[in-house]
Amino acid sequence: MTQTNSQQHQYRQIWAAGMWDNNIVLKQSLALCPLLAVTSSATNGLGLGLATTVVMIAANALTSMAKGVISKAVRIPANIIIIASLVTLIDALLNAWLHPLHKVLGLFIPLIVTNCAILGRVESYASKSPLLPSLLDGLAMGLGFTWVLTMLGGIREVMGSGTLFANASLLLGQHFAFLETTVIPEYRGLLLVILPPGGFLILGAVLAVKQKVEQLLTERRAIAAAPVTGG
Amino acid sequence: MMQLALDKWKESIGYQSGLLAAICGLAALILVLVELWTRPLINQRIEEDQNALLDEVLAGATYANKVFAKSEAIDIQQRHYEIFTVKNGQGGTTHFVVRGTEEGFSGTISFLVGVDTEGVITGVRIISHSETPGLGDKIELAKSPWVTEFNQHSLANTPLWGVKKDGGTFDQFTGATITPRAVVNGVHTAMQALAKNMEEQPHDAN
Repeated sequence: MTQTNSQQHQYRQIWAAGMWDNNIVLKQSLALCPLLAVTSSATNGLGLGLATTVVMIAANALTSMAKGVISKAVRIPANIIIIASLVTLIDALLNAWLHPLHKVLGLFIPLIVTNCAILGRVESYASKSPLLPSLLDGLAMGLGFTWVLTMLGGIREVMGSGTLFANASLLLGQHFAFLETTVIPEYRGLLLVILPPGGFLILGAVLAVKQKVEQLLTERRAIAAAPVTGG
Repeated sequence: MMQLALDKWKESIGYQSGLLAAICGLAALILVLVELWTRPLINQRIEEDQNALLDEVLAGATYANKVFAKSEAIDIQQRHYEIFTVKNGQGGTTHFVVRGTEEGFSGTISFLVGVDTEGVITGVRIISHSETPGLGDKIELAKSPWVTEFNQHSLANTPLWGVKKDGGTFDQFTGATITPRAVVNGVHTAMQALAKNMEEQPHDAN
């Protein structure tokens, strides 16, 4: 295998890990606190997901660049300072220049500090890896988090309020107003699904489905690998 | 040999405390600079938001003074209200704006009420709240026109301030009664606070 090939292989693995194999929510079961608090609608899920992705990429990059300087014993406080400063920085910059977006995301940004998944990535990956793979790892893990949040928010929103991507144009701009759909007109709402306990129930169901899918995939692979017998 | 000595030095207490201090200092410096840089911009944005809300509660009426610069505080029924006076170009009072808070279903609801000199509501808007998304958040104009029901109401023409479930005048939402009830109570008390304030120190209305 040539140098570039093995590198490509490595990048593909990082991508697959973030999206599915080692997904923050589905596999690592991290970041459940912001997850349950925010995913009452698909738009909210998407908002927190994107904000987290940005912080994750930046935190991974900074940690990777500083890994030669930061000694092992003090790496955790050092990393926490990096993450907390980044979040504060992004909060202030968004508030000053992208104020309408900040009004929608404002609630989520301080929540990012509580997200143990970011410290997890910095600790287990970026503090040992070169810059480029660390950037990719932040992107993959962040987008993996984003799609799970958006899906969970979507399920809860449809079941709880009968809409999907309500107020998406407030988050993404007027071009995305077409995303806003009413799935069940005149729906009276199911409060339980919108409140945090509903989040736990739906998350449980999603994890069960993920397990089943993986089981089926493994079985299929086993069948495909088995020698064909008889006729 | 050189590398080894360097690694050993990195494990020393001196290096580690120095490193942490340097990181803290650098982070603090960056944050202070960004704070200094963005603070005026953020204040400007907040002011713009407030003025946009002000335009809405005054139903587009024009004003010539800096409304939020000066306020009168008034306490009524253990609640705190701030009353702002809206003046026209000639210095005459045209409207009053009351800012108040009320406990909702899950936290404090902060609102703004615009009232003309006759005591008739020109508009009510919610400044901030933390009600249940999809249920209680229909008090926001972006989500539902409910809050415009207050327009044209006054203490004189509305004998029963309450939601219809309690025999009052205002609608509740399906699935959420506590939130609209809180807003109706809050606006009612704000109107009483304004009336009390007018009695105590009558403003010239022209």
